[in-house]
Amino acid sequence: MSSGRRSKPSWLALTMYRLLVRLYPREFRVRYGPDIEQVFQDMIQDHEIPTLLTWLSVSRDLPHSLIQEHLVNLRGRRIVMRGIHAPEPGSAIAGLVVGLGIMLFWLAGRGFHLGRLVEGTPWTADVLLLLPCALFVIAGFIGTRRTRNFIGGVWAGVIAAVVSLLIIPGDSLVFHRSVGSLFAGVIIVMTSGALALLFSGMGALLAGKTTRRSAL
Amino acid sequence: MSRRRQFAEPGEPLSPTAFYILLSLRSQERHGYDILKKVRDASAGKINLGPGTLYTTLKRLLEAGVVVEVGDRPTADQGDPRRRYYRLSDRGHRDLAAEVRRMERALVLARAAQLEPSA
Repeated sequence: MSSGRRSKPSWLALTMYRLLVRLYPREFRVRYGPDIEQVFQDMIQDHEIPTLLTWLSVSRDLPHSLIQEHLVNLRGRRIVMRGIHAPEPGSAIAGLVVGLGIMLFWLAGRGFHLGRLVEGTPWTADVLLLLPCALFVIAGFIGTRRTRNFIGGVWAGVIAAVVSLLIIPGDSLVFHRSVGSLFAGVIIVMTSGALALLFSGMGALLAGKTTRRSAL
Repeated sequence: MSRRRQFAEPGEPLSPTAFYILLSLRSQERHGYDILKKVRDASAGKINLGPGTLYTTLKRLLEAGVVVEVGDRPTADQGDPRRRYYRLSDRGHRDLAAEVRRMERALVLARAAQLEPSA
């Protein structure tokens, strides 16, 4: 060791940093974790770098590199984030099919007077909510698999939500003959959009994981 | 341009971090901390890499084939045998040269436009 190094490394700092390094994705941590820890140890032992500067550097570096590496890990080896552009045909078709499926399910339910069951038994309402959520997951999964793109899966979910939201004016025109409350409509649109993003994102992640596993 | 696509085609513009890492490996193989110090010195302290950013960038450069890990670790008198050493690949040399040419062209254009760096 050079004379410019501190005689005793800061045990506490190293222990803390080792714990933080554990936050990296496993694959990255196994490959580069010991090297990252070694560089940090070199930094805190180097007299040329003030300790404060070392910690400032690490406080900037860790969140940035952690997020970056987790994003890369989430995207998988073959699922590439291409940015939010127009939906590709694969995700658009998946979204259309799922959205029409939700709409047909609703219309069939109305036709068979499922609405009465909803009023009488709460669990039926849960089922009616869970089914579109499950379909959003499927849309995200199929969209991602077809486009090999995480955003493609989310697009599929959004398109499914937009198509299925046509239920609102359709339901009003066919069953109530009125436009209905604007406020209720906005709430339904926002809820449906949030559910679509959440559950199609889950489906897209699921597709990413399974694709990566098959790639390995 | 996304980070993963940055090295998709040889000669595409490099990020400042990638450029300085490649520059540090131009003349000799180095280990992580050596690269970090060299980058800081070469950039006159403008780029202070942390260990995480250093290795996430090195990982991308390795995946792109711009940098390679040195198989035979140096003996104790040549360096630290515990550490991983890295060097530029042939493509890395080409990419670095292309980046320097791109910078030179940009400088020529800037001078032609009579742009002067502020003091």
